[in-house]
Formats: sequence, structure tokens, C-alpha cells
Amino acid sequence: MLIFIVRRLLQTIPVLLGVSLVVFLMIHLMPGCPARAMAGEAADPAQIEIMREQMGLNDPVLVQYFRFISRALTGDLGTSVVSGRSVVDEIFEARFAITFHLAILGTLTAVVLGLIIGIVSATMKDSFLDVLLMLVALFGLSIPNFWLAILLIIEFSVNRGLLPIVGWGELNQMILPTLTLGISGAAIIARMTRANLLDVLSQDYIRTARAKGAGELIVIYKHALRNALIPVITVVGLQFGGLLTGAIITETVFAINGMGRLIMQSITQRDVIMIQGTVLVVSILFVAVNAIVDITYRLVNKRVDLN
Amino acid sequence: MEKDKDIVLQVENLQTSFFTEDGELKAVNDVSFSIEKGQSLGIVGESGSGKSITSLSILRLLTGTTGKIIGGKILFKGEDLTTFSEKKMQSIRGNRISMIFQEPMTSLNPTITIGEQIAEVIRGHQKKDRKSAWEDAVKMLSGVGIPEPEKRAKQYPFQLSGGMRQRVMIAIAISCQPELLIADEPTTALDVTIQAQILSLIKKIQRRSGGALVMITHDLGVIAETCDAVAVMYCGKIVEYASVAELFESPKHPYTMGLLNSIPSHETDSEEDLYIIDGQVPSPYELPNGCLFAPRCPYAKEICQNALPELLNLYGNRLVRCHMQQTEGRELEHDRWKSPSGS
Repeated sequence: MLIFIVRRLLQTIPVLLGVSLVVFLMIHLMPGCPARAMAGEAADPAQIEIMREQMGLNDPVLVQYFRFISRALTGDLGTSVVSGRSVVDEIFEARFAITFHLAILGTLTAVVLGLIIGIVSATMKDSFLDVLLMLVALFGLSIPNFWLAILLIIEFSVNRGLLPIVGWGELNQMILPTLTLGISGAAIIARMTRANLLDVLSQDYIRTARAKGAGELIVIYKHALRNALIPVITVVGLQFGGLLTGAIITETVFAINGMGRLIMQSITQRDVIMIQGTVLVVSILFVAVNAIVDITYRLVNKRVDLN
Repeated sequence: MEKDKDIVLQVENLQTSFFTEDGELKAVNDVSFSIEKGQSLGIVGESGSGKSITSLSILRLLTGTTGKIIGGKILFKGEDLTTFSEKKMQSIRGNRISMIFQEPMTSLNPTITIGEQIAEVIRGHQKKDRKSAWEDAVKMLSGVGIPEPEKRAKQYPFQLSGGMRQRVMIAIAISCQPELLIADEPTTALDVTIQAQILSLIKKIQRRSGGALVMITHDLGVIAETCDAVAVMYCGKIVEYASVAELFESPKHPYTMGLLNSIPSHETDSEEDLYIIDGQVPSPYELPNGCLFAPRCPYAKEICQNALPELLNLYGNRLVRCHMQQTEGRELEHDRWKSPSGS
């Protein structure tokens, strides 16, 4: 097991190198010059040239890349062109905590809602309730987040005045964004749980459990669910990873100052250093979450050969 | 009267059907048999003959399928199981009636330790705490011949071989000393060398406990080794019932003769000498009107095509469902079975 964990962690290194290269090149292939953006609209060519020299943009691309990597390794992702704030500080002192909080709440909501709907649907297969729940799940899956967010705002904030429209911090500010992220996640989890549970319930070992005299509750919760949830873990992990990297649309709609909104703002302001740094951090987070999911999967799934 | 008390299971006119889009499929069609304490009954037949569905019907384990018991009685110690509530059935399953399944590779839960899978039954049916149930489970493992039972109990099914897993299945089945043990093709999925070990283990356990055993198989060799009496099933019906010795000595139904003739023996030295039963098992949706075996029977006459023969009691408890036995009462000659290349 230890060997597997070490090997899985080592595998992330080439992935991260690739990611850093793509992020770096993306900025350089983008139209528009960061020096011009930094120097401002009114700057003349000489000023821009000085700026280019200062930012090292005149060096060969390879040199620039290695400088980017070696600085990144020491925890320096540069300074924002717009605010002048260090990218690392901006992310980890202001933005990350909010996004992390939102991701946890969203994932929790998705898991709880999704599991309940999935289990009820599977145990009452083909009943009216099952059909209804799966239809609801299909809607949840199909509705885009921004539209759902706006619908929720219209109903609960505008029409009923129950909840605030924007912001993050107070409990009542958290409800709508959490619901927005939770509902779409729940839809996927519900459909997967139902499908896996139905598959598992037709397995031989479920018949064995029944032949042992186990009641329906034990059959489902002890014998079936354990096996049915193994693939669901992967999906939940990926969802959490996705939310952690910033729910760009949801954060923007609710004006939540998380990483998603940071990326959005940086792009509109052409803050290339900030984009570069944030995308890199977000990618590292995603790769890390994936590695953790893989390791958890191995721990839970006894059948996977350790070699 | 005394003898009646010893009857563990009496199945009367059991009918189990599956309801599919293509119509009703009569998997078990009017099957009756009984089994006494200490006795072992073999049910033999080809795949699709209804033998497994008979056993699942006894335990009412058709959940999750479209199968339903639509008629008949299953008297266990005089009580009709078909009238039991699900709750009451749960107290019977794994406790007073147990079952060993065909597929040891998939019949154990992959995410639960072997020990817990045994201890769970013990806790479920006896008032025992976790610790003593676990100790019992370890004892059961050593009882079915698993070396290092303490270590094995903590392992998961994937760490055990097929033969070992079938031993675990047996340990689960016998952990509450059931009065009736149903073994559904317990050796089919195993290597030949392991088969003999598992069969003798089942036999040994049955002798020791004095319980009743129903052995379901398609292999007449297994029947010869483990059973006292045997019921031959074809298309959901019993076509012949006899003691094992009598069945092998003088089969009465053409189908049984065919089965016995198709067992390769030491004298069979080439494929030419191996007998086969011509034709195929009829589709369960389009069963013939007359005798179910008539389309494949070398003795079939006109009456066989038109009327379903009754199960006739020849003498004692020797039953056969065949017009030829009924109308003429004569011995059928075995040589009507032709070798595939001989005709």
C-alpha cells in the first residue's frame, strides 16, 4: 500500500510539470502584451520597452520558463499587474479559504441529497417516486448553474426577501450558493448511486446475504451500499476537486470573492501574472485531490490488487 | 405416525413461474417431493430444468426476479412456508434452512471479512455478542478444514482460492446447525480435485448433524456419491423418482436412460461410443402439448405427442412419468439410444 501511495504521488510530478508548461505558454501565446497592460493605455513604446526589460520578457522563452518554475518552487508566483499584491498572498490569505468552505458545503449537500435520492430510487425501482426522482435528477443535471442561481435569487431573495443576494460569510449568505452547487452535484451522485445499487443488488452475494436471513435494511446498507458506493467515491472526489478549483460561475453570480471570481476578474483585467499564478495553483489542487481520491479508492476497494 | 414426524420438508405441487414480456415461463411446474431427517435427496436435470428455481422457491429467495410461487405448498416441519411473512422467513433462512450456492467466486461479499460474514449469521439467529460470535466463526472455519482460521477470518474473499471460498460458504450455511441444507451445484465451478473434497465435506457434515440434505446438480456422479434418493427433473417437472441404487440399476424413464447412457465410462474409448440425447430442451415458452420429452424420445408413440403422462407410482416410492411404462408396463430396452455417428 505504501509503495502504491509513493508511486501515485511520484506520478503527479510529470503531470504538474506539464501543467506548468501549458500555463506558462498559454500566457505567452495570448494576444496582447503584459508589459503594455501594465504600463497603461497612455504609455509610449519606450516605456513599454523598459517594462518588457524589467519583466524579463525579452529573454528567451526557455529562460523565462525556468525562471517561472524556480520562482514557483520557492513559493513566488509574482505580483499582480493590477493590484501589485503578491499572487500567493492574494490566493492563500483571501480567496482560498472562501472557495474551500464553499466546496465543502457544496459537496456535502450534493452527497447527502444524492445518496438519499439514489437509495430511495433504487429500493423503489420503477415506482412512481423513482420515476419522479430520476426526472428531477435529470433536470438538476441539465440546468446550467448560472440559471439555477438566478432562479434561486429571484425566488428566495427578490420575491420572498428571505435571503441576501450576494456575499459570503454569514450563514444566510451561504445557503443559496451551496444549494446551487449542491443540486447539480446531487443529480449526478443520485443517478450513479441508483445505477450502482441496482447492479449490486442483482449480485450473487446479495442473494447469499438474503439466504443468511438478513433483513432488507441490512442487505441494503451493510451488503449492497458498501459495494455500490466505491465508484461514487471517485465522482464525489472529482466534484470536490472541481469545486475547489473555483466555481467560477456560481462565485461570480453571487459575488463571492473566492478563487473562481479571482480568475474571472483577472481575465477581464488582463492581469496575466495573476491568471498564470491562479491557474497553476488551481491545477496543483486538482491534481492533488485526484491523487487523494485514487489512494482512498484503493483503501476502500479491497478487490483492487495492491500490485 | 412416528415416521411422519421425521419428514423435514414436504413440497406439494409447487408451481413457480416467471412473468416476462414474452409471457409466462413455468420454471417449476407441479413438483412434489419429500425428504426425511438424515436423508439426502438429489435433484438432477439439465440447465433450465427448474432445479435451482425449486430450491430458491423453498427459501422464498426469488426477490429481485420476476419469479413468483403461484401454487402449491412447501411444508417445513409441517408448516407451510408459502404462508410465512417475510419477517418469519428471515428467521428460517440461514438458521433452520441453509443454502450453498454454485458460484463461490461471487457469492461472498467482497468488502466484508470472511469472519464477519460467518459471525453475522450467528449474531442474526442466536443471542450472541460480537466476541463470542467471532470465536464461533473461527471455529466454523477450522471445522470446514481451513488452515490458520484466526488469520483467515480477518481476510477478504479475494485473498482466498475458489475451493477455500466454497468452504467458507459451507461454514456460513452450517453455522446455525440447519435442519435442512440445500446445496445448489456446490462443486460445478470448482476443479475436479477440489470437487471431491467439497462433496465429502458436505457429506461428512450431514452425517454428523443428522440433518436433511437436498443436493441439486446436473452431474449424476455427484448424486451417486452423496444421495440416497434422486428426483430427475425435465422442463420444470419431475419425470422420475427413485432410490439412487435403483435409478442407476434400472432407470424407467427414457430421459433418465439417455442421461445415464451419456456418462462417459472407462470402456468408452472414442467419441463414437458416447451417447447423446438428440434434439434440444424445448423452449419454456412453447412447451409441447403431450409428454415434454416426446420430441426427443426414441420410444415416443402417438399418445406421447398428445397427452401429458401422469407421475405413476410403479411400486413403493418408485415414480415415473411415462406413457410407455403406464400403458405397457414393460421394460424399455436401452439400445434404442443411438450413438451420434451410428445412425
